[in-house]
Parts: sequence; structure tokens; C-alpha cells
Amino acid sequence: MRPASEPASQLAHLGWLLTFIAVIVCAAMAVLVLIPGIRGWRATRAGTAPAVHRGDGERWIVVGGIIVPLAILLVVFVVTAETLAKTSHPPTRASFLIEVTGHQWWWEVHYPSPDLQQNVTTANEIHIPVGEPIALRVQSADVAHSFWVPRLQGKIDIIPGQVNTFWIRADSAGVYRGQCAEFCGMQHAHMAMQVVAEPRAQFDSWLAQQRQPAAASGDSLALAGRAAFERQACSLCHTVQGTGAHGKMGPDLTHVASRMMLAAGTIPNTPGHLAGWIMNSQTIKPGNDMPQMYLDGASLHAIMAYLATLH
Amino acid sequence: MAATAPYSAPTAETAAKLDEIWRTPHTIYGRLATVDHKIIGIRYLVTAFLFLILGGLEAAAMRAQLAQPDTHLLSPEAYNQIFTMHGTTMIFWYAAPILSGFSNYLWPLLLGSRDMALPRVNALSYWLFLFSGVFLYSSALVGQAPDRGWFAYAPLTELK
Repeated sequence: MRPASEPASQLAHLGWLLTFIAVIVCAAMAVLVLIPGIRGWRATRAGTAPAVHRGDGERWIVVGGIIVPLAILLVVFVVTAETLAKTSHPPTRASFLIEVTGHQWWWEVHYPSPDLQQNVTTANEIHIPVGEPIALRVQSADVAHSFWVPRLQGKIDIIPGQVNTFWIRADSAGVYRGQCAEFCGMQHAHMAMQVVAEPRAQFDSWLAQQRQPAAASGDSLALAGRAAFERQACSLCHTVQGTGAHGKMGPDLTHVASRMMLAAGTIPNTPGHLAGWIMNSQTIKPGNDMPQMYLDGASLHAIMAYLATLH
Repeated sequence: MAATAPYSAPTAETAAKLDEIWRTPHTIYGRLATVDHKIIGIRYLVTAFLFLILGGLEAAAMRAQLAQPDTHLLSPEAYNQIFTMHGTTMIFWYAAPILSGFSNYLWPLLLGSRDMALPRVNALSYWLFLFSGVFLYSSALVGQAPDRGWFAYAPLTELK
């Protein structure tokens, strides 16, 4: 646990406090069970065990069984409720809103803008400016998921048919791993994301770049790749803004080359991994929705060259 | 505290009748159909303990898979089946029935009653418990054990 935000460190403190209380209670109970147990055993062996009478030990039951647990639980309740109230809402107005949609098994990330032309849709990688609270709206495209970036915030469940709101903030720049925290099917374990916290200027240039449609590269190999991408099954499931590919099943690939990882944090975004993923993603992440592709070498080569232009 | 009624021994005729009603005959049918709460209690305890061992083996398999990152001991399908079966087994085939075992054995003794209420329904419950467990685990024999988590959240658990 290395919390990188104020709410995360408040939650970490709460976790340590509860652990500490639990350890103390556990140790006290062990002592209270062992001491009379050993005494009774010795007395029985020596034949000096006193007779038990109705009402014996009632004070232990009232004090040890009711008053003390009530006091401990009251403290735990108040501290927990206070921490949750403090961490569930941003202290100041959120800078902007990000919409996150959980899919089996990847994250769709949407930066809405009043100007529809400026909307940004990406996948599995959330960029935020350092030190600014960001509002989140999370929803599901299929089953229950849970959005969790442990170093930045607690979890927010994603429940089908409902929009949940939350917020995150990173107090220092860095890349923070997020993970689906509600079992959502076969590849639940491979449903991760990266949250990239960067200085405001860097974030602004990232967002400006993401708002551009796909680069129309003059390279003839890349152009052949683009044609193949549109002609093959790729375009049925994937969108590349500014081209004929408008599929909605899989992640938006308009700027896929700018991302660090592929397949929701499963493999690094390198040419070798990408080629393997395109040809037979089922060996890498069995059960995902992408079918095995039957591309010839020339088409694969061209599509790889095209995807590399999508910065 | 009301005074306890003094104990009076049943007449020979009543004793013979009670014995005929409650006795567990030493035949196969008699053993299967027994309503004796102590026998049923012990059966619950033994059966639940066997399921505890099964659940423990499943936990060990999960821990072995998770001991290091990217281990390929279990396939994703097998892992999801094993963690689902582990959770289901521990809650419904161990934690609940082990309490039924102690309750069956001890409650009538503590209360001073002859047996549990509705002894035949109580006897049937044990057989339902046993055969439900056998039924659950028979799905593992064909590699199709439940794999959607023991908490069974819809819509993940819907048929596709």
C-alpha cells in the first residue's frame, strides 16, 4: 500500500486502524480463553474444581460480551462512516468528467465535451492532470464490474442498468494500475487499466492529440494497411475516427499506438505482441470477443504498419 | 423458574410402544430411514467434514496457482470452476450443515425432547444435503462445474 492521493491514504489509515483493533481483540480473546481453560484443567486434575452455580460469570457476559464489544463497534462504526463520508466526494469542484464503461473484459473511456466533435473515446488508459479532482461516471455494457485503482481511491461498483458516480485525484505524477474488482467472467483477472497522472500541460497536449482523427499517413504500406483494415473484419468491431471503421464491439483504435498496453493491461503494446494479438488473441486471453483472424502475411504486415501510425 | 415436574417412569406398555416407534432397526432399510437425531447429527458432521476437505483441496489449488504471477497450473476455465466450487462448498456444504450436525445432536439433549421436531422431515433433510452435494460434484466429472462465482450475480449467471 503506497497511497498516492489523500483519499487513498485516509482509506489506508482506516485499514491499518481496523487491523490494529482486530489484532488486539484477537489477542485479548486468546488470553481470556486460555487462562481460565488452563486453570480449570489444573483444578480438575487436582480435584479442587469449584462447583458451578447459576449466575456465575454474569458480569463477564454483561461487560465482556455486551458493553466492551458495543464500545469497540461504535468506535469502528464512527471512524469508518467518517472516512467514507470524507473520501466519497471531492473536497473542491471536479475539473471535468470522465465516463468509464466496463465491458467483458476491457474498459471504455470517454472524455465528453460540449462540442461533440471534441469528444474523445479511448480504452484501458485514463489520463488525468495531477492534483485535480476528476469526476467519474461508471456504467456497464454487460455484467457487474468494479472500478478500482488502489493507490488513488476505494472501489466503486459498476452495476448493469445504473450509473454510479465517483471521483479520483492523483497527488503525484505516475502510472497507477487499476483492476476490475468484481468477478465478471473468464478473463476478469485480465481486466486491468493504467491511470496516467501527468502535469496539466502534458495532459492538455495528450487530450488535444486524442481529439484529432486518425493521421492520414502518406506511406503507401500504411495506406494499404488502412484499406485492409476497412475491408477485413477489423472494422466491424473497431472504430478508427476519420475512416470507414465504425465498429462498436471492441476498443476504439483511433490512437491505439499511443497506449502503453494492449488487451486491458494483458500485454505490452509492442509490434510483436500486437501481431500475435491480431492473429490469434485467443491464445493470449482465451474467451475474449476477438475471433482468430486469417490474414495473409502481406495484409498483416500492412495492417501493422497502419496501426503504428495511429498515435 | 418453574419447578420441574417430577420424572415418572413410563409403564411397560408405553415403553414398548415408544421403543417400537423410535427404534432404529438393524436392517439396511432401517439404517436409511432412521430418524434418530444422534445418528443424523453424526452423519451431518462426517459428511460436512468431507466437504470441508474437498473445499480445502480446492483452496490449495487456487493458492498454488496464485503463488507466483502468470502461473499456468490451471486454465482460466478450471480456475473459475474451482473458486466457484470452493465458495459454494464452504458455505452451503460445510458451514451450514456442520451447524445442522451439532444442532441435531445437541438440541434434543439440551431440551430434553425425544427428537427434533418433524423427525421424518429432519431425516429427509440429511439425504437431500448428501445427494445435492453428490449432484453438484458430478458436474465436475464432465468438466462443467459452476464457474460464475458462489455469489451468483445476475446477469453474469444468465444463460448465454
